[in-house]
Amino acid sequence: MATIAKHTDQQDNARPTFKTRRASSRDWQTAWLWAGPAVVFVAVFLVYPVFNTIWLSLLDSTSTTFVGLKNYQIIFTNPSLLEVLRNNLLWLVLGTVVTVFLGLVIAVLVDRVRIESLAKATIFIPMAISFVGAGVIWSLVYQYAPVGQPQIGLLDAILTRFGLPPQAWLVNASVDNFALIIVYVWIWTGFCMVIISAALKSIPSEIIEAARIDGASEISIFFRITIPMINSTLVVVATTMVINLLKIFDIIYVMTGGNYHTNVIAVAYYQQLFSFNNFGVASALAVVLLLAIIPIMYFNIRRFRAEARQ
Amino acid sequence: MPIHDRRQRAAVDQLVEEYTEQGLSRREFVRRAVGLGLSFSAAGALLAACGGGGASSSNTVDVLNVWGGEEQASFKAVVAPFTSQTGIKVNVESTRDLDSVLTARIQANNPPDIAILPNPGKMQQLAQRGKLIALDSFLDMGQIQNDYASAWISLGSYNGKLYAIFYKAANKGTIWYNPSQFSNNHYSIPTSWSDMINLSNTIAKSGKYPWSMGVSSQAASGWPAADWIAQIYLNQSGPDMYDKWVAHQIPWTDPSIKSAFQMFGQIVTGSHYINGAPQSILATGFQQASYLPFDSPPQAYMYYLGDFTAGFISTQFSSLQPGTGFNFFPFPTINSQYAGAVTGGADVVTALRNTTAVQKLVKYLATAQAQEIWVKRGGFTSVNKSVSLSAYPDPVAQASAKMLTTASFYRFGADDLMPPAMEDAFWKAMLDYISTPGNLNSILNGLEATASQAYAS
Amino acid sequence: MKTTDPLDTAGALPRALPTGALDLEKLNEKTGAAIPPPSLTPLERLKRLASSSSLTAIVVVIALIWLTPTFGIFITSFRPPSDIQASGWWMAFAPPWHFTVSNYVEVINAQGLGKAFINSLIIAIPGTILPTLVAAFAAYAFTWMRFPGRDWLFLTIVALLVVPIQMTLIPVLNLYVSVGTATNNSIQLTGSYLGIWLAHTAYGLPFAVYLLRNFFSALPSDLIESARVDGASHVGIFTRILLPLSVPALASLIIFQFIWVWNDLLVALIYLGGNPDTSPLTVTVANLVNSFGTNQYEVLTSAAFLSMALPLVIFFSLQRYFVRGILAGSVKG
Repeated sequence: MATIAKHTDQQDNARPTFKTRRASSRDWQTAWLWAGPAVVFVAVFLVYPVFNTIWLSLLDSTSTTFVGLKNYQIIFTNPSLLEVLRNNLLWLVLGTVVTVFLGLVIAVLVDRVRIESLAKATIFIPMAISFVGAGVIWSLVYQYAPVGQPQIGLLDAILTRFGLPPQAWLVNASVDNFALIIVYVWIWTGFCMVIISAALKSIPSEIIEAARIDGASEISIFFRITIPMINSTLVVVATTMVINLLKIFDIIYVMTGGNYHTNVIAVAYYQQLFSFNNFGVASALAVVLLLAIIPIMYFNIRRFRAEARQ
Repeated sequence: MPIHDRRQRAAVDQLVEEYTEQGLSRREFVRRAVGLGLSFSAAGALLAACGGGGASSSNTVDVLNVWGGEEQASFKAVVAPFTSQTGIKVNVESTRDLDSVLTARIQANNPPDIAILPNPGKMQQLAQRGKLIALDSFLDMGQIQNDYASAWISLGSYNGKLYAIFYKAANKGTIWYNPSQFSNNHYSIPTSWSDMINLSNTIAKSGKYPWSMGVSSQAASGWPAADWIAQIYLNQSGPDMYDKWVAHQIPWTDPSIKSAFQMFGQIVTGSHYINGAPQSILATGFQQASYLPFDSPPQAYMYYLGDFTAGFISTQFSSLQPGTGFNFFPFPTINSQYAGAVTGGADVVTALRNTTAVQKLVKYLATAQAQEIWVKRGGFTSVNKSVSLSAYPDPVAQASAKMLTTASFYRFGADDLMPPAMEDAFWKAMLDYISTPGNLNSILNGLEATASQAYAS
Repeated sequence: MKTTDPLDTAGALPRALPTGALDLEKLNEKTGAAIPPPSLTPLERLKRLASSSSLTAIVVVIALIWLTPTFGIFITSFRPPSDIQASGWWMAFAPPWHFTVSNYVEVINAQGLGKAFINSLIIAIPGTILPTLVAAFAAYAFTWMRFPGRDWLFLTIVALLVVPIQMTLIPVLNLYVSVGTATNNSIQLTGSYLGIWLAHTAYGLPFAVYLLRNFFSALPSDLIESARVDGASHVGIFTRILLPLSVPALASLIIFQFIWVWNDLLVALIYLGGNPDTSPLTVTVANLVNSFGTNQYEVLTSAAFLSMALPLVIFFSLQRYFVRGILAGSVKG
């Protein structure tokens, strides 16, 4: 969003509104007629549920008695729910860092080869695949069989080829979170790459050229010129990843169901709501999620306003 | 209930007409009647006046269950003659995550017509919340009492009304083995726990794996291990303690519970007992794990799981004859006082909407003829007394049904009777215990913490 | 780096997203042009060649890693069940070759995937058109009309991008039930396509409004202004000037929203309640995963591949719009 914001300055200076005419009440009504449906939709499906959930989080499991902050106390004392928070943090940090880093590296690499479009398309394909499809794809990669049985999972086949013991990637608590994060990376690196690549191409070639003539090495050009110039893009991409990762649900729901210490907030919320029918704790989990997202939302709005003002 | 307003009277008349002719649900009827200004009791009286049966001409029934693969195919075979006789189409929807789907659909006021619940605990919860249709309003109760032992009727009742037909009973006291391998190797059937451990050690020492185990089952992973614990606990501590455990009248940290986990641990951690343990146990599906003793050459020799395992085995290995190709022995005695105690489970048929089609299907499913279809296909134990033992297709199924009906003590699987949050925690704890048996104390402490919340609500 | 390469057109986008969509090709020629190589000594030429071919090798390896998992299920879906369990999919290339389409026949006929495919279309087409229309109206108002609270409203809608959908399920379901009750079930939103269309419309709106407003606000304002002066109505401007000009942006949005709805599992699961008669592909495939676990890959892989087929076709044929949608809406969460 800010990538766009930063770069659209030139064209977007004049705000295309009818500043010359004063808004009459008739205009006012017409405008609401046009914007009204959208406003009603988001009010009913997004705004109302947020407030409803906040209220429910202060009630007990059947939403009958007011219990104050007790549900929040449960979340921050129950060991399995604390683990859920820890896992989400792991996803947040690792998922963001790896996708943005890989996206940057691949964008830089493909920029210099002839097969750029083919390579980009290949890495970008997973964006079009559903999480359910991705779940089947990766469960075949991670498929485990003990020694002595045919290894039909790619990873374990490679391990056993080198004489190493096969691993149950989605079950072994020391690796399963990473195995799931890899699926996320597989899906979303293409997204990061495409945006970063676009930003790279928008750097005026004269600047790079001038640096080359001054004798700067490719590495110092990369760190001293390229990175600072695409900084705002990197921030936008990272922000998008953070929002995604806070809400991460499908991959875990489809592949491990939150078992084997892989649970995250959104899946725990789903279980509390639908399996345990504990509306209080479920709503409190959703509110925790929302609280974590609010700073990012604020940050996004500030950027947007800054853009709008220019 | 004097109705003065003529428009309102017309509306009520129309409502009654809709109810009797188009089959509105009773709840819907009452709600709309109240909406028309009637009091609840007046609406109830009106409903009674219209006659109990909110009959529908709808020609489909949606059935929600948890069965997959072979079990689902059998269920479809059961309803096929029903459809051809009545013209009523049966839509079967299957999910292992039944709790979630059912909660969402009930919340959305769009319940399935019939739900076949994998445990009676859920049924009690739904009946308490008024979500189920009382079956005695349309079933021939004389016939039901003739067909079902009073114990099953009372387990399916809430506040004196029948809400569930016990449909598919499972005997969970069965250990599966390959008879020809046992006789080739001169292994004898163990009757006590120590016999079984000795046999396991003998097999392990010969360089083979005595046990197969798999607890993976998507969102419900861990339940096969919870079945182990329940069966061990019943055989070790007896039915009275079992009931206390289930009702959380003893803490999870009680020595009796700890001891059951440790006995299970003997199998899980036994040296050279299970190929690839503990990872393979967690990563293998319960259905896949049942195949190992019957592969050639066999990759394991014993497998513990309920009697429905026969269905998995006979489908995968169609050439194996029940009794000679595969068989089971009863779970070995741990405490002689409780010899012959058996845990089990049952899928129960419940109705969430009251239509003629639903009534017909429930009536049909409760009959001996309908149940014999699945009985003959294997993997189904009926508690209907009119299903004769001779209907069972083979000696193995017969022996299992007999073991269930003659058990010295019979208890439902403990997990199925616990509150949903407790059951889920129990399953997850089994996964934890299998991967790190050394953490038993903290695992049990965690379960106790969950219990203090789960039972309170 | 030629204009025939849709992913490359992305290069020009951030600088000029709104107008860029109008004449991407031209812009791309400007910015995407390669730096003219300075004169090099033969040794330097050799070095460059070596480094560029090793770079190519690295890129090829990365691309292969990315492709392999998908390729694996593609191959598996054409193998007989006994082969799938006996050896890894890569062994399918060793003789004797056994390939079959029977897995596909099985899932389409016996597992009801054909019906699910139709259901997915029934859900996704209105689930795409409806939000696009509503968003276009709103974006028009937010861009070209003046009314109190306009910016504030627009920012709020965009900020709602971050609300987790899970949070909204129960309150909305309850609302749906009350609507059913209030209208004597003449409007049935739960378990019906109408309910899911409305839900997808609402969930897609923040992104759609954001994308379209961004695009509209970059259109030359004198065009609209002069039409106003000539006495054109808002409806006239919208249908005769704005929509034709906005085809590229609308295309990106439609593709993006379509793939999003097509791939959705959660919303369909909750609002349709999993009735197999109305279930889309994702729900059906997820149910297959549930029923068969991971021991019947012949069913799962062919089903999964079927569910991916349409998005992949759309992706390959309309790549450029897809990428543009992503570039323009990088806050979509």
